[in-house]
Amino acid sequence: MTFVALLFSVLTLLSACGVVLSKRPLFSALFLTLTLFLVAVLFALIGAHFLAAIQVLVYAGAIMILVVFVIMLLGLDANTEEKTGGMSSFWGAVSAGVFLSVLGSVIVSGIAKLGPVDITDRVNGTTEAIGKSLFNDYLFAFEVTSLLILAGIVGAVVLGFESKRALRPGRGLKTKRNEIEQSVGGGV
Amino acid sequence: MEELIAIGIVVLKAALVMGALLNLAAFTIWVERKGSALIQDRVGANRAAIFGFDLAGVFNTLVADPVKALMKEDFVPKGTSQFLHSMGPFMGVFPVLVSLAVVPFGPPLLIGGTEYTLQLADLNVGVLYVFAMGSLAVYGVVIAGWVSNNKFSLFGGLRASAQMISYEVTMGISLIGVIAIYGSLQLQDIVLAQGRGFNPWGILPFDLPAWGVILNPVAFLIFFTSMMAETKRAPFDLPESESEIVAGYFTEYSGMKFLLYWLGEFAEVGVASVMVVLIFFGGWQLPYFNLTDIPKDLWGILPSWILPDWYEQSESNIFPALVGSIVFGAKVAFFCVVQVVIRWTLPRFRYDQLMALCWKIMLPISLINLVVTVALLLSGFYRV
Repeated sequence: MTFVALLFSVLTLLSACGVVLSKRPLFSALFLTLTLFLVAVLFALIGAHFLAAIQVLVYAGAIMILVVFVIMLLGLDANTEEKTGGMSSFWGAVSAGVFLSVLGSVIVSGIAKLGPVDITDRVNGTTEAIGKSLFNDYLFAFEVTSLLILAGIVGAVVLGFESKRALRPGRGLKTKRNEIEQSVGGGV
Repeated sequence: MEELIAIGIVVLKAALVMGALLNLAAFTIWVERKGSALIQDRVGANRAAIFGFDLAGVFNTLVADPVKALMKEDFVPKGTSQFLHSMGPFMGVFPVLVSLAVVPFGPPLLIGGTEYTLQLADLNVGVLYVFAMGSLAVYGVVIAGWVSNNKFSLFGGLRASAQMISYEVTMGISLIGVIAIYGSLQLQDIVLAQGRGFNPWGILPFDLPAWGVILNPVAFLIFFTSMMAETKRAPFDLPESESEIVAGYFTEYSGMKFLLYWLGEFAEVGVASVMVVLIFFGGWQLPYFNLTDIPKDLWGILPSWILPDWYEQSESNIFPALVGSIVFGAKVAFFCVVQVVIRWTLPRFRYDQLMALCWKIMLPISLINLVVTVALLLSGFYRV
């Protein structure tokens, strides 16, 4: 059991490195999918079956497909010009710095709690257990999250209407819209 | 020693499930050949008969297809990742083949006082596992569209990813109501619950079988339609529509790799039938008859020399499992044939019609159906 857990941990880390080190965007996306899938395997190993299934279903199966879809639609490839220097390097450095400081603070604050973990210590990850804790202990957070997602959906719809209005005839963007429609077979 | 036996049993079950699915796919391919000929009023696959027996052609075509595919040139387009091009078919087939690991195909087998469940893994998240694997199947298609270095393949891949994500939504929502009625995600629990009787508010003079299709017919229609859309076959075969984009995502695939995509498609038909049967048509249950009531000697129908002595003396009963598996297989085969008939009857959708059907018709219906189902559930309609 410990060996299997170690094996999958190493594989997860390797494929996470692949996300960053790949030159082509599609390979990065596929490595990210693999990483999410392997994390689901780690969940399943400690008995959190529900989380594992949802992880694969939502992240690997739906969200990453959308990412791949966008990469394919925009035709991103290795020969896409890399933007280096100037403002993008500056903002890249800033965001990396913020990320590293957050990560560092988490590590510093959590280092005291670190210790050997018993991989065979299984959690109660059944659907019933997750449901009970979601709708009892974390009900408020759960409902607030659903409001957040609702706001996101409404925002997407509003943006969709806006771009439709901007694409009316006479705005010069109609040909572009026709191109997009033809390329995906209309009406997406 | 006991551990070895346990491992052996698991391996045996895995081989059984995998072999059954592959053979079901092959069977469906043959049914599709003969069925399409029948529906289009022509003589199909007429060189496949063995010694004049037309039905024996099923074995003949099954051998001929792989042999032909293996002899063909394996073409890989230039200027693309050869590795991903080879991975495509595997990423398409693998999730389909492993998705049946949680399927119960019969009541427990009783041999020598020990019960052996006819299910590979009884996961707590049963249904979700099947859908998680099903949602991964789209990668094979998308990758094929991308690495083929071909416009038509790319269009096919894009269409497939949009279509499969859209229909997954209606499929999931239509199932929530049914799962709420049965109160479990475990497929064996769902099948056992369908063996009971169903009498809405106790007004009927007799009980109906509590099959999903009787409890929630709207959910069945939406689920079956979504499942057919997920298999990417007509009328939902936009990703490979040959009159518009050559052959869609597998345009640049030949030989055995093409055959793998083909096999995956028919295996998906099998998985769709299995899920429909398990959730809406009672799995291995028969209406008004409890399979576990079958006595160990099958009411003495069989001649006594067939059953060995140890079987008669020990606490064993193989007949519920045997009859249950046959009933389950027959139901699954029936739905495979139904899908073939639908595929050769309906014309292909236009792409905007396909999206409108999902988002403007089926999604609202499935949401209303979910609300109505839960309201009925709370009012005691489904108490069995």
